[in-house]
Amino acid sequence: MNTKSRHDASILSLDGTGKVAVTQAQSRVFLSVIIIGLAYFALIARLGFLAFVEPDNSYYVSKPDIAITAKRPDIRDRNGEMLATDIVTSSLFAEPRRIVNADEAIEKLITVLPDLDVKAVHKRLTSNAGFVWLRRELTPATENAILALGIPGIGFRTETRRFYPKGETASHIVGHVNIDNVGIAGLEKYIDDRGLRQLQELGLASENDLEPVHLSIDLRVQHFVRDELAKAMERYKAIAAGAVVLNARTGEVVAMASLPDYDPNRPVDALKKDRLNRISAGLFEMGSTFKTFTTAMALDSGKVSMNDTFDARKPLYIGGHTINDFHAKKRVLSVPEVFIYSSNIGTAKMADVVGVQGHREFLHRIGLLSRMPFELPEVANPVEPKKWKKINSVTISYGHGALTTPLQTAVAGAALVNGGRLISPTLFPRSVSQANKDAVNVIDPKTSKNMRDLMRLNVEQGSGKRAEVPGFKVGGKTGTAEKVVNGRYSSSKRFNAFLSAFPIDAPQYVVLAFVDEPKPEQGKDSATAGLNAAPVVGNIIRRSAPILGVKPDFNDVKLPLLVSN
Amino acid sequence: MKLSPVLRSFDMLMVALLIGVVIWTFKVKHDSEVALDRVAELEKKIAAEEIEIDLLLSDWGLLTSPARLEKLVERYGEQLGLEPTMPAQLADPNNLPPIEEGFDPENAEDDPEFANTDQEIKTGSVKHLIESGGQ
Repeated sequence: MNTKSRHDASILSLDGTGKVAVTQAQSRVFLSVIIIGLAYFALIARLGFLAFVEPDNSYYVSKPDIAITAKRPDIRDRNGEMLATDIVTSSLFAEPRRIVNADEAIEKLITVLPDLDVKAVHKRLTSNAGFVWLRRELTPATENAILALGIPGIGFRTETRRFYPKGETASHIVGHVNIDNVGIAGLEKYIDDRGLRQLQELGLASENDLEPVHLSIDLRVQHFVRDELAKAMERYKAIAAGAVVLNARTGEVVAMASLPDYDPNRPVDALKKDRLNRISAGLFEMGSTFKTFTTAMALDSGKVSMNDTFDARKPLYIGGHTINDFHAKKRVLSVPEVFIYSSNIGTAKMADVVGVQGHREFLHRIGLLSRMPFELPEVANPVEPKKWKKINSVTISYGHGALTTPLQTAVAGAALVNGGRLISPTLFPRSVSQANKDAVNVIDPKTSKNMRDLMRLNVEQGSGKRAEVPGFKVGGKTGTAEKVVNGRYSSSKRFNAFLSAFPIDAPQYVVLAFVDEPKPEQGKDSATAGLNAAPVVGNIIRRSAPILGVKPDFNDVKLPLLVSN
Repeated sequence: MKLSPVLRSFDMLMVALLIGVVIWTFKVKHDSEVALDRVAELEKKIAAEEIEIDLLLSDWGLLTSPARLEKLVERYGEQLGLEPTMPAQLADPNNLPPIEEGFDPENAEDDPEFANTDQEIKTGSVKHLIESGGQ
C-alpha cells in the first residue's frame, strides 16, 4: 500500500512477501549456478590437464608369458655366426574331458599332422584324464593351422628350446643343456656357473644378461678342422682324432675339435665315455713332440748351443732300460740333426745336461704339468711321477712317462715360437695387449728364434714334410708315441701328433693335430706321425690360412710364370 | 515466478554446455579404450613377429652351416664348375709383375705382344697350370 506523505524526499518502497521470496530465490539460484559453473570449470580444466599428461606404461598389456626364467643368451662365433640359440615352440595339448567328439578331432588334426599316431591319440582323447600332450615343439605356422581347424578342448603351451644350428661342428665347445635348459657341458655350463643360473632362479635375469656371447672361435676354420679330422679318421681307421688352432700372440682358441663327438641337438650320445673332449680333457703321453720342449730347455739354460753335438752311436743303458733311436743314424749328431732325425738318445743326453730338477722345473714353467686354467669345465689334470729320478727325466725328454693334454702342448708350443710368452688359452676374444698383460716370459727370445729355425728345418728336411703348404712356411715337430697296452709299450698301437706354427718367421697361429691308433694306409707298412698327423695339419693350414688373413709369401717358392713375356 | 530473460538464456547455455561436456568426456574415454586395445593388439603382433624372426634366423643358421654347404659342394661341385681356392691364387697388388713398357690397357686384348689368349680362363685353370708345371 503506497502512502504518499507530505515529505516526498523519502519514499518508502515495500515489497510484499511473495516478491521478496522470489527475489531471494533468484539470487540463490544465481549463486548455485555460479558454484556449479565453477565446479564444471574445474572438471574441464582437469580434463584438459590430463590430456597432456604422459600415460603410465604399466597400463599396457605385457608380452606373452614365455617362461622368462628359462631363456639363455645366444652363443655366436667371432664373426657373429649363430652357434646356440633359443627357439620358441608351441606344444599341443588336449583336455580329454572337454573333447566333444574324439574321432572328428583326430580327423581334423590328421590334415595338419599327417604322421599322428591315430590309435594312441584316440586312446588318450577318450580317456578320463584332465590333460594330455598330443605333440610337442611345433612351429608357429603349424600352430596357426591347427587353431584354424576350430577343435574344442585343445590348446597350446609355448616352450623355449635350445637349438644348435651348426650341429656337431662346435659341439664340445658349446656343450649342451638338459631338459630344463640348464647347461650341463661346455660353455653352456660355463655361462650358468658364472651366475646366470642364480639370476634365473631369483627371477632377476635381465635383458643385459641375455646379450649374445661372442667367442674367439671362427666357425669356418672350426669346420675345416673337423672335416679334415673326420676324413683322417676314415682314411687311417683311427679310433679318435683331434686338433686345436691357437692364435700364437693372443692365446685365443680359433678352432678346437675332438672326434668322436656328438650332435648337441640330440645329446643322447654325449654321455658315452669316448665322446669326451680329448683336446682339453684327454691325457696322453705326447711322444716326440716333447722333444721340442727338451731342446728349448737345453738351449735356454745356456748349457747347450746350436752347434753342440751328441753321441748317438750306441743305445743308452740306464736303470735296466735300453733307449734306442727309431731309424737310428748311429753317429754323432748336431743339435739340429737330433731334432730333425728325432733321436731319443740325443734328446735324453740333452736333458741330462740340464739335470733332473731343472727338467722338472722347466716343464712346470711352461705349464705342461699343472692344470691349465680354461673356460671349459672339461679339463684334465696332467700326471707326472711323484718323485723324479734320472730314468724319468730321460723318458720324459722324448715324451713318455708323463701325461698331459693336447691343449697344454699347443699352448706351450705357442710360447716357444712367439718369443717366449706363455699365454693362457681362452675361448673369448682377446687383444694382443690384453694377452701381453697377463703373459709370463718363460724362455729367452733368442731361444725362441732357434726353435723356430729348428721347426722349419724339420718341415723342409725332416719328418714334417707333408705338413708343408707352399707360401705359408710351416714349421713343426712330429710325435709318434707308442701306447701302453697291458702295462707294456705296443709297437702296433700309436698316438700320433704334429705340433706346428705358421708362418714360421713370425708365427701367427699354432696348429696341433693328433690321430689316435692310425692304421697304415694301403701299400704302406708304417703309420708314423709324418704320414698321418702331418698331412692333417697341412690340409688344415691350406684351407684355413687364407680365411684367417695370413698372406702367402711366394718369394722362395718356384711357381710357373703365369704371364707370358 | 518469472526468471529474468538474461538468467534464462544463461541457464540454457549452461545446460547446453553441460551436455556437451558430458558427451565429450564419454567420447574421450571411449576413444582411449579403443586406442589401448589397439596398442595391446599391436604389441601381441610384434611379439609374435619377433618369435618368427628368431625362428627364421635359426633356420638361416642351419641352412648356412658349413657342414651342410660342404655336402652341397660335394654333390653339385662338378656340375657348377666349383674348385677349391688355392693359396697361389690369392695375391697382393705387390705380387704382380711390373707393367711392361708400351703396355696400353685399353687395347691390350688385341695386341698380340701382350695378349695371352692360348689358354681358356675358367675355374680350375690355376690348379691345372700348377699341376702341369706351367706348360
